[in-house]
Amino acid sequence: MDKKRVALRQVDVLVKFFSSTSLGIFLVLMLAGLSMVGTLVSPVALQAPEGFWGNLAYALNLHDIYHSFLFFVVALLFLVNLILCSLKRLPLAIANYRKKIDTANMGMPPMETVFVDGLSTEIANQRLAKVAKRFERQAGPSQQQAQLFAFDKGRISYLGVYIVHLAVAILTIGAVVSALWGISGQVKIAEGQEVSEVRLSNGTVHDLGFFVRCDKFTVDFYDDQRPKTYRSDVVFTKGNETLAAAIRVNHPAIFGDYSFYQASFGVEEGKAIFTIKDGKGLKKQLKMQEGDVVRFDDNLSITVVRVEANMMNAGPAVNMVLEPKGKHPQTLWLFQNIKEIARDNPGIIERFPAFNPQVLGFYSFDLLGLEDNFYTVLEMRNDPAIAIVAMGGLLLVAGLILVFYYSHRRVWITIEAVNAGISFAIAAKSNKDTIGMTREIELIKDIIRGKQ
Amino acid sequence: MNTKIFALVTFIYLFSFVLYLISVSSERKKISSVANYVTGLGFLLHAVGLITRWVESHQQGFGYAPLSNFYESLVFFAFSLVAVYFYTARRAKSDAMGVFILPLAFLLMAFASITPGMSSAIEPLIPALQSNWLISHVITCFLGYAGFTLAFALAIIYSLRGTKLGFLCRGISPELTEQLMYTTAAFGFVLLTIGIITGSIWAHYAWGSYWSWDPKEVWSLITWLVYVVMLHSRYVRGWGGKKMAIFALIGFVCVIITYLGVNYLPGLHSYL
Ligand code: HEM
Repeated sequence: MDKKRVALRQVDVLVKFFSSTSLGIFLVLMLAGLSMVGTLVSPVALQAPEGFWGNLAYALNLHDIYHSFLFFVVALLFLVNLILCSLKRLPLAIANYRKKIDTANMGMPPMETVFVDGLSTEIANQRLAKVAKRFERQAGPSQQQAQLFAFDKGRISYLGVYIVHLAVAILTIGAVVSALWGISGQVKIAEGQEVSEVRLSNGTVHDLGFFVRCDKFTVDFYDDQRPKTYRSDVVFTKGNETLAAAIRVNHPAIFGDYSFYQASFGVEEGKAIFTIKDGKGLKKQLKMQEGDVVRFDDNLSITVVRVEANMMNAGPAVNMVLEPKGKHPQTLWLFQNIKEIARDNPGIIERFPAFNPQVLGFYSFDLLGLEDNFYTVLEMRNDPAIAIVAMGGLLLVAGLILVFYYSHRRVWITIEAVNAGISFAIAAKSNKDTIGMTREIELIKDIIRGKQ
Repeated sequence: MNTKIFALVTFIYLFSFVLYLISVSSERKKISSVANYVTGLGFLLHAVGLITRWVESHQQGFGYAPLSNFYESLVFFAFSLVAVYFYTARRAKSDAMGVFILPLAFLLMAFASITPGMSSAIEPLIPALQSNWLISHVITCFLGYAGFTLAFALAIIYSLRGTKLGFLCRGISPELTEQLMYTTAAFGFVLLTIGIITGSIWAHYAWGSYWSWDPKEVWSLITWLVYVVMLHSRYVRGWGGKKMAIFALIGFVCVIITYLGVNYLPGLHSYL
């Protein structure tokens, strides 16, 4: 019995502690402080920690504080605190929200008295009906108090805080879900290439379960050479389901649970375009990139080893290995500008047979040029928390508007016939926003005076 | 053309600051209402300047809302500041903030036009900036910053009372100061919240991640959290207007760091 009571009291103390506003303030400041540390600490310096402080910082995960255990714990405590604190107060707010309109409360002295001369009760009632339009609820006049009118509006503002706190809780949960289960990574796809795996930011390789092919990457420029558009034309294929999409910055593509965004691009070693003639007059044009192997005829196989846009400052060149049937393989450095090179450096071809476009005698090679081969870099994401976060954001804004731009306004008006006119005594009360209440009363006075 | 209008606006703001100063030190109501008209004129011209710039960007074939580079952001910050000041002053029927807000508006405009290396040219938008979310993001953030700047001015008014410079707070009661400090900060808070949300949506589309812990994002979160504390100061036992004023000051420092300081840290948002 006693033990139970002690235990209960301990729970009580704990709940009190974890629901206190002071703890809330402390935790919010803690989150702000940790975030600040994260922007000031250089992540690079902490990759190789030095000395006691360096090692301590490393142990505390300060190089990636936003994903550290410490941050996680503070965020969870904050979540618990926020929920407990709100639950503790919620019943009172709901009671306030449910409360019937209060007719009896004329205990407050009237703030304003307006006397309108020559007004009939009928018109006075019409004007009060007009006042009532500005409110949600009206009570009176009743039997006991024939002259008392009560109005109110904005009770929902009592609930605003709880919607805000709920939204913050949802956002916190969303952030945690995102951090734990969301994946992201970048994938590089050359034009014409297809991928089905992405290296994630944590270093592991993720199988998408479908293929992404990049058909074309384009970049447009403004006249002043600033980039105007980056665009990747891609095709997603999963079984016989396909989807073609144009991914641009600010216009991602979504396939299944995955989103793909334009992140970056580059030019790969281009493709080399060259012709080969054999002694009998057979001529062929080939387009090859590094690693490509092609059989020219039964007697010759060609492997492109390197494509250089500017080899030794002498312009475009291709390094290929030629394998004539039954003979030793031969290396060829095929320069586009070989005529000029030979003219400026007499004897060079004799000294370096590998520079000779006719190194195989029977065949002669001619490099026409290089073709750029773009690759695109796409950012891939699969975040299960998107919907949670979006809902939290919407609720947050809705709640804040309720908190700051709605208030519970109550107005009591007592009318009394005096001489040939009617006197209106106005009392009012607001749970916040006294400036707004004052303006409200000004408006009501105008209506009563017939100016509105 | 637009830059000439902005130059004129800069001087009008300086002039209305002087008028507000004369009016608070001489306690002449007339001068204060002249100052209001002058400020109003400056504000209208400011709006005309923004529209002109927008039209000019269309004439040059780029066609974008003038909210995209550092120069434009300074000009728009000043514009938001005067707008929020006007609204608050009219609603509360007090011009006491004018003497603090107008010099800030003037400084922002002057900073925009005289800082060396600041480009006031209309330039085409790089792909990441071609987004309607950018427009809503920038507008909401700067209106929010303007709200916080007002709260900051009111915190100064609050702390000057009873000092040698106390004459600057004659036009406003301590209760009204405290209340307005709260409502302007709350306005800033709501707008900053929407600004962070629209920014996240934009980042979601542009970079594939609605939150990447980029320094500017983090500092906007820090700013947001500081104002969370400020908005709760009424509910913490024993915290009064003084603590609120302190947090309005700290919050404003965070706003400045969010706006300018993080340009010196690497990230996606840098203007420099
Ligand atoms: C980021 C987090 C939070 C946000 C955005 C937030 C937002 C708000 C807002 C907008 C209000 C209304 C203020 C007003 O009426 O002027 C409020 C009230 C309040 N908040 Fe928070 N809050 C947060 C965290 C917390 C935490 C952690 C606690 C505490 C443990 C807390 C406790 C309270 C209390 C007690 C009230 C007063 C409620 C009432 O009117 O009865 N808040 N909060």
